[in-house]
Amino acid sequence: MLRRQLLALLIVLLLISAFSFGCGPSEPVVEPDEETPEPSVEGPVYLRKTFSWPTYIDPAIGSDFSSSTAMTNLYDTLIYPKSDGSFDPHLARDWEVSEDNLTYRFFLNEGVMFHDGSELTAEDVKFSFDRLVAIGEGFAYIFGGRVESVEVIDDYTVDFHLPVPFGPFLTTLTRLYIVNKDLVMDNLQEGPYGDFGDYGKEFLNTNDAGSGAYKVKEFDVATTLVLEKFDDYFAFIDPMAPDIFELIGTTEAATVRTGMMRREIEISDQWQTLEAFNSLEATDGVEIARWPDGGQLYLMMNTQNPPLDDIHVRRALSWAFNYDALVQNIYPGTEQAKGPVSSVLPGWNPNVMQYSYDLEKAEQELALSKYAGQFDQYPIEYAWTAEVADLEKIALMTQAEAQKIGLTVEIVKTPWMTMIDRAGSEDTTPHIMSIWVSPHYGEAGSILEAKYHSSNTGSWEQTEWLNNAEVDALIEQAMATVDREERFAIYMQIQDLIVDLAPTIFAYDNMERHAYQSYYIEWPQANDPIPVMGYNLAARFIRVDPVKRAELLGN
Amino acid sequence: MKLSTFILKRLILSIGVLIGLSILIFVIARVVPGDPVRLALGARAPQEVVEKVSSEMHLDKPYPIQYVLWLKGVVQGDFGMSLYTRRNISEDIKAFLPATLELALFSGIIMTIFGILLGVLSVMKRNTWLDHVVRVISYLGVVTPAFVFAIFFVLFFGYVMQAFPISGRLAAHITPPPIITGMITVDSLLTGNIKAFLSALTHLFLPALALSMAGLSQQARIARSSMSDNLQKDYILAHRACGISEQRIMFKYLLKPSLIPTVSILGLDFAALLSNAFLVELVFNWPGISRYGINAILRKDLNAVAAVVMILGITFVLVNIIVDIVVAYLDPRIRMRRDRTGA
Repeated sequence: MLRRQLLALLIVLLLISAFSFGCGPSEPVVEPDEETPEPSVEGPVYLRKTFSWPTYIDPAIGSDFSSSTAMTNLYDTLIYPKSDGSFDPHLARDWEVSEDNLTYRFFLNEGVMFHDGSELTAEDVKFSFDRLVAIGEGFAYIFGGRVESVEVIDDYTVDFHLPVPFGPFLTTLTRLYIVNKDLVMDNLQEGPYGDFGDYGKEFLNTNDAGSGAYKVKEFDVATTLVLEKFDDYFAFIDPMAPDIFELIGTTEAATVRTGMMRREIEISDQWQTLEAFNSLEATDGVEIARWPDGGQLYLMMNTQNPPLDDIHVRRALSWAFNYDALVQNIYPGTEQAKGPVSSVLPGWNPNVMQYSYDLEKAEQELALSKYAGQFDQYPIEYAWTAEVADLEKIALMTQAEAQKIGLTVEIVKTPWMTMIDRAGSEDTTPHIMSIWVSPHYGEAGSILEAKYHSSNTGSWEQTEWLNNAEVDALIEQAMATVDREERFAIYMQIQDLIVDLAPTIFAYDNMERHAYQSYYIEWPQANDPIPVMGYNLAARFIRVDPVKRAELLGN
Repeated sequence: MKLSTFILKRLILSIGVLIGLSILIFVIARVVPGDPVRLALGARAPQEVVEKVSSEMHLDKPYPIQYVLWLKGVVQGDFGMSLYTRRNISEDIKAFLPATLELALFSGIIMTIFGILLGVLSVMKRNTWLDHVVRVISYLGVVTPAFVFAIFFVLFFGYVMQAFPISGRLAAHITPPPIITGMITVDSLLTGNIKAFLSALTHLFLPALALSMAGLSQQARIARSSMSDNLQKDYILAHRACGISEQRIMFKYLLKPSLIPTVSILGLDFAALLSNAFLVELVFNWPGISRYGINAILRKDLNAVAAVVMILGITFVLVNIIVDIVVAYLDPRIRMRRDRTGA
């Protein structure tokens, strides 16, 4: 009996295999119009972009690049950021600020529809804020402790009450995505939030409750998020905006390159190597969009650990760093950073002193150090993130240059999880850690606070352990200053002070790079980027021409 | 010993193996540096939120208690929450495991059939150019990692020939069949959706081929070696002396006993398929459990890591039991020995 069953199984397997090979390379089984919707110009127009995964579409959870992009397309915010760092009205048609700068009143547009057809009201705004803060993940930290309460005045009016003035408050609202309260409440599961159960976390993990220009069509959490255009969107959608925006979770070079060449990917991720971008740029109809993303590569120095507790040693290392070699050979196309804030961020100080590669000055600084003559007793541990090969080149370069001025640098390849672990305490933080940090909202204050305010020590964003009372006080003062010009003036003062204290080697302003199908795509933000992560990929502004795409495929 | 008793005994032994495995992976996952919750929530998440999530996941409790709580959940089919996908791991497994099983199944089919065929071909044409070619290809197949084949296939079949899709499991415009087993080829056949079946098959072909190359080469080598050995045996000489045709000897009398080592190693090869599947799944954007598992490891997603290892362990154990049964079928001596010794 068993023998017969096994025989039958073997025959079935043989048949399936034979069939699969019958469909193999010898036969063109994939008819072009069968496997891809094009080259015909009929059917939906696609915009497909690759991303590093995972993507979280719950506005109380997501905060990285792909999540921000998804949320920007699925949800709306009270205001909308512009490329110059200012903002336009969006869900809020207008707003006013109380004299004491503690209450912001927003007047909402009427007739804004969620994807389920219900109307967006002030109740939804309050619910979205309360939910974000209660869950405490995603972008919640931006608002934590800075908004006392949100009060619904009427259906279309909502007040935000602040305990103390918070200068960048309006800017931070680009991270408050408004969710549909009723829909979330209808989909609560058991959870730790009392009457709110799980606050809809399970539901919003794979479904949207937004009013954005796109809505979720399919979401395979491991690989792909497919969004489709929302026809009743209240704001502008370009007539040539894609019908489908697909976020694909791969950064694999061969797949991306092949996809771009087959015109099955319209925009690549930013994580391709320089060689891969060069190769993509050589493809017909493909260009590389480049812009500073507001982040920087920082070589953070533990200012509490000898010999880097001495300002002169830190300055010496800053002078001994070969910035030109970095931006020309390791990250071509980038520029040396000028101070702790990226030049693209509103509030950047263009007049801040900039270190350059000058070994003479480095030696002069070392001569002033209290450790002069004893540097052999103080080896400097330099930890680079094992997952990013290019960082080793920078470590080796730093080591070689430091050796020229008599400093010993010991390089340690460190996995990212260990980096996070070691950053947790002053004693375990290495002398130098090279890490990219990006702002969380489009203003200098975001990066200054994250990187240099004492309240944020112990995180991988700040391994300098600067703990400087003057810097703390200035950051707090800036945050409490509502007037933009005044606040920016304080930001600039902080940047001067930080450069003088030299807790960090400001390596280069990070460039965001994406290969895109410039022949059939018009991407306005590629030439006029918005300094808030995710907003440059609002698909409603991107024009896709299927006829031109078909032309390319015809070639 | 009856076959059912034999299987039962193997299953009971396997439970012990799986408990050992669970303890091992539980400890390893926890001694790796880094706070998984902090890693998942990001640098700026308030400490109280990190503590709250840690508490929800019982990470604030001593390891033995954590293990007992985890095991209790597993027995009830609850693997806990994944910090990577932010949902119950049981759901993740339900979503990702069938994709990898489908991939491994098709790879296994390709590997077995073509591995054995190449081996037979090599023996039939011993010491001819064809034999040499097969042997060289087999060596190359064994030493070349699956991801190299994957990238080569993407570039050659995907870009140069544009003959096969390079990403995903199904064409965008085709409606997936209702989920029955989670394997799209099987589900589409069960529901009579031939269009979806063909699309799934073409999506499956390149990743399955890339994944099968090492095993296929290994099988070819073992089949050739085993058949060459048996070819020298007296019973083959006797068959020849009786005037039985070479082809009949080859397929009727030589192949079956020669398959025993090939089939025995299939279990190991299947395990290798599951572990090698990661890079292949990555290259072809295949939403499988191997890729999920590696992402979980990179993010120190403790529950997910433990769950994936357990699931793969169970799969491995089951496959090996099946292999044992097949080997017993192929070799009567094993059946008889088992009957005699009761082992």
